[in-house]
Amino acid sequence: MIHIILDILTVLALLFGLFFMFIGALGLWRLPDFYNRMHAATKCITLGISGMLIGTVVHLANVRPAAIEPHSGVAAKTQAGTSAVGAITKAILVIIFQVVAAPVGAHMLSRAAHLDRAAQWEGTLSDELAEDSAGGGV
Amino acid sequence: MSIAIVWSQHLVSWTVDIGIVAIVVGMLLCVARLWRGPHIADRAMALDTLGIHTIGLIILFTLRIGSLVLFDGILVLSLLGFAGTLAVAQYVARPHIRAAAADVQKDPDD
Repeated sequence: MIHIILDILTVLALLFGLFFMFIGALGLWRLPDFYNRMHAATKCITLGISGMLIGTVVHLANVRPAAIEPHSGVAAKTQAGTSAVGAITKAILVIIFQVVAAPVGAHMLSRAAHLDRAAQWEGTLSDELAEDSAGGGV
Repeated sequence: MSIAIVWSQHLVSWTVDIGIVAIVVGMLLCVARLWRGPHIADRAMALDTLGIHTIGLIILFTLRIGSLVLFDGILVLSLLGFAGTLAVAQYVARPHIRAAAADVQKDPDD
């Protein structure tokens, strides 16, 4: 019974992550200017990779009785000597790193694009950074 | 009972199959933006997103082939994507920051 619940949790987390990753890529293609595309890509990609990795962690923690013997499942020890515990650790590390690094990278890239005067959408209502730095500051 | 377990396992494998298709379509959209992006920052962001989608593809292949040999790649890909984004951001921003600093240094003399 617990295996069915964990499988359904895996499917839900994977679908959550896949939805956000696809929406991020779609926004990257469809939105009108660089700042809108940055908004779509960063938020959606962070949520997407977190959801997919959580689904993987739940699937790896779902040890089946048939998977105890070697070479018969993801949860057992594999040929390369990597274990499920190591994979779960790596997945959690990647989630933490993405949550920390994606806003930093997006901030630096959008600041660089604003300094380089990337084209803005004609419907942009206000550009307060340009108004504040009109005196020559960066 | 065992039939229900097999059914839920099939649910996971169908989700993985559908997810591979969705990830590949997303990668094609990223490549299209990489091709077209009018500004260099667009291309840098498309490359970062492409790396994230590669991480997703590695996750789905791990679930599909039942082996953890590819799983180390997700750490390397996330670190390299972040480093590449920062490098392009510095490359774009540095001339403007240098020019602004030169203006600030020059202004008191004038």
